[in-house]
Amino acid sequence: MNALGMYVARESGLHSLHPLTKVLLTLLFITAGLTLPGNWTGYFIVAFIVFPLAFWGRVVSNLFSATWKVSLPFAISVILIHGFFWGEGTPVFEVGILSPKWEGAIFAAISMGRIILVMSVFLLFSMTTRPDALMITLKQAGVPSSIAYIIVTTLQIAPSFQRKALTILDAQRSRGLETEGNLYIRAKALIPLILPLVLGSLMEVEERAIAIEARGFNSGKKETSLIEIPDTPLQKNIRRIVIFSIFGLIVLGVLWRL
Amino acid sequence: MKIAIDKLHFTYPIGLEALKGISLVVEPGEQVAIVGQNGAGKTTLARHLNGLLKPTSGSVFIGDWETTKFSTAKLAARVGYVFQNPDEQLFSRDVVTEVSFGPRNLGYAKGKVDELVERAMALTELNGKAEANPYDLSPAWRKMVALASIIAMDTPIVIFDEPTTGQDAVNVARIAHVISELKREGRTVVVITHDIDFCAENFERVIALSQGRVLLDGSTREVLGQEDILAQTYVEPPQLTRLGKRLGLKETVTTQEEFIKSLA
Amino acid sequence: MFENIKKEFTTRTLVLIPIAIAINIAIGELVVRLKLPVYLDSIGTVLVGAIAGPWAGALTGGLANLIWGLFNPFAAPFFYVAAAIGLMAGFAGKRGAFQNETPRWVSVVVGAVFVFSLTLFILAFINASTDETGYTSYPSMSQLFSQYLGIFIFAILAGAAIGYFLLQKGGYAGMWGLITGIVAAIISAPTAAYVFGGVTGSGTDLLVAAFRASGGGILASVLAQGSVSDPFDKMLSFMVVWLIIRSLPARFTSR
Repeated sequence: MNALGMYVARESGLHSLHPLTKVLLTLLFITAGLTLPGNWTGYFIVAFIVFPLAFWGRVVSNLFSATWKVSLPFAISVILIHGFFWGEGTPVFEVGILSPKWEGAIFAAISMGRIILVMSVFLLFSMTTRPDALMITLKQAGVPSSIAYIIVTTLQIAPSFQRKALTILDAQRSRGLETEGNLYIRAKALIPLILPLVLGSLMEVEERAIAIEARGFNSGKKETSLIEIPDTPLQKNIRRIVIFSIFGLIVLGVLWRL
Repeated sequence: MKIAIDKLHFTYPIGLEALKGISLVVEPGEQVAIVGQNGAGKTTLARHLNGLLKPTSGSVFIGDWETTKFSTAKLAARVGYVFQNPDEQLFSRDVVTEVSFGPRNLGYAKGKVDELVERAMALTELNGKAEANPYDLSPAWRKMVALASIIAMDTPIVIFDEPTTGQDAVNVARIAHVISELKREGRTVVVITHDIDFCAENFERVIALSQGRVLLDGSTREVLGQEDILAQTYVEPPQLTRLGKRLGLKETVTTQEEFIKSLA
Repeated sequence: MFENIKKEFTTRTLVLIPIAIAINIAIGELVVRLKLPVYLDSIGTVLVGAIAGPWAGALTGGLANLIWGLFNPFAAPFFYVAAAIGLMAGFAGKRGAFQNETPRWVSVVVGAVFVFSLTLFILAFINASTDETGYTSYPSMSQLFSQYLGIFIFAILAGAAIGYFLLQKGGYAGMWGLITGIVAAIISAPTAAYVFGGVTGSGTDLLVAAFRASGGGILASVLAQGSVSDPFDKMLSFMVVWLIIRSLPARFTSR
C-alpha cells in the first residue's frame, strides 16, 4: 500500500469535485443500492451512475480491473454456495447430487449486484480523491483534527510497517526460526515475529508524542491550510440535498420492509 | 567453513538486476569487509549467504551446502547474520532469554545452550545485564544484545550488516573486539560497511562492489591504495591512506601504526 | 462519562492509534506469509483498548476498517464490528484481563466450556429440522447428549487441553477474547448476509457452504460460520496482547 491509497492522478471534473461532495455521493449510492426496492437496483446504479461517473473521471479501465480483482473471490463463493447449496427450490438441472436451484441462482445474482456496487463505488471514490485533500476538507467541515491526524499518519506509516514486518521475518529466520512446515511450526513462529514489531513500535510512541506537542497540536487553535480546496455554491446545495436524500432513503427503506 | 560463490546473478521480482555475475571464495577463518556505494549490491550479496535470497542464476555454497537446497532456518546453523537494527528482532522479556533464542532454535542441548549464551554475553560485556528487559537498555546495548544473540549460535560464519552505523566510539571498539575474538576462534567474519576506517583497522581483505559487480578484491592495503578505482563506487580510502599518498610514501598505509612506521 | 472519554485521548493515545492500525495491517501481512488460517488483524486495536481504554479502542477499530476500506472496500461496512472489538478490549483491560495471570485451571475451564458450547451449537444446527410451514425445530439437549455423548466428552477434553497448553496463565484474557469473538460474530452476520450475500471470498466460505448444505438459512449459516471462526481468532488476539502487555519494558509502563 502507499500513502496515496488507490488514487489515480488525472485531470477530470470528477477529480476536481470537492471531496465532501464525493464522500456524500458515495454514501448516497450505497444507501440507495441497499434500500431501494427491486432486485437489480445494484446493477442499475453501477450501469447508469457509477460507469458514467468513471467515464467522466477518466478511470474506466482502472475501475473495471480493480473492481474485477476484488469482486472475483466473492463471485466464486456466491455462485458455488448459493448455486449448489440452496436447499429447497426449482432445480435448474440435476446431475447426481448436484442440483442448482433457480432461487439460488437469482439470490446469487442479487448478491453479486450489491457486492459490485459497494466495491465499485468505494473504489471510484478512492481513485479520484487524494487522501490529503480529503483530510483538509474534513477538518474544515469540523471533524476533529485528531481524527485527521490518525488517518494521515496511518497512510504514511503503514507501508514502512509492512516492510518492517518482512525485515523481522528475515531477521528471525536468520536466527534459526522455522517459518515453513506444518501448521504447528508456522503458528509457533508468530510470537517471535509479532512481539518485535509491536515492542519496537511502542518505543516510538513517546518520541512522536513529544514531536506533535512541539508542533502545538493540542493548542486548541484552529489550523489554517496552505492548500485551498475549491468549492462552489452549487456543490454546497447538492450536498444538502444528498444528506436529506440519504436520511429519506433510510427511513423509506425501513418503512418498505415493515 | 568455506564460502564459494560462482557467477551469481540476482534480479529482484520488480525487474532490478542487483547482482551481475559475482564469483568469489572466502576461505575458512578469513575476515572480509564488503564496501561500495548504496545500491552496489552489498546487502543483496550478503543475503545470499544465508539463503534469505536465492540466486537467479549461478550458485552459492556454504561448505558443502548449496543455499538453494536449504531454508534460511537450516542455514542458520552455519551462517549467523546480525541485522542492522536490533529493534527489528528483539522480543524477549530479558537478555538471557533473548540470547538463547537462536541456539535453542538450532536444537543444541540445554547445557551447551547455557555455555554458549554465557560465552557470548561475556564477549559482548553483557554479564551484568542478564535479567534486564532489552528495551530498557540504551540503543548501543541493544545492539550488543543483537550481536550476542547471533554469536551464541556458534556458527562457523558470522555476517554483520553495517555494524558501526549510529554507534559511538566506545561501542565501535567493543564491536571491533568481538570481531577480533571471533577471528581468534577461527570463525569467518563478513562485514558490510560504509565505515572505511573500521574496515581498514579490522580487516585483512576488502571487496569493493560497484553496480552489482566486483570492482576490487584483495588485501586491505591493495584495495584501499587504489583511490581512483574506488572513486567509481564512491568509496574514499581512509584519511591517513590519502595523506600517505599525498606525502609520497612508498607503501600504502591504512592504520596509524603503519603510518608512523613508514614516516620513521 | 464524557470526562472519562476525554481522559482517554491524551497525546500519547493519539500517537498510539495510527501505530496500532499500521500494526494491524503489518500483522495481516505476516499471517498471509505464514499461511495461517486466522486473521489476527485486530491485535493493534485490542492493544489500544488494553492500554488506553474502551473509547480509544473503539475509535482505533472503526478508523482501521474505514482506512483499509480505501484499499479493500470489503472492510469498510464492518467498521462498527471492529469498533466493538476495540470497545470490548477496553472493558477487558479495565477488569485487569491483560495485566493479571490466572491459574491454569481457569484456562482449562474456559477452554472446555467454549469448545463444549461450540459443539452443542453446531450439533443443534445440523440436527435442526424444518417442516413444510417453514417452522424450524431444534433437538432437545437430552436428545443431543444421548446421541452424541462421545463427541461431547471429546469436546470437553479437547477444550481443556487447548486451555491448558494454549491459554496457559492468560485464561481470563482468553475468555474475554472468546466473548468478544461471539459479539463480533453476532453483529457482523447481518451485514455479511445482506450486503455480501453471506460470503467473504476466503476459506471460511467453506464453512458457510457446509452449514447451508445441512439446511441452515443464509443468516443462520453466516452466524454459525462466524461463531466457529471469530471467537478462536479473537481469543488468540487477546492472548497475544496479554503477552505483549507483560513483555512491556519498565520504561514504557512507568510513564
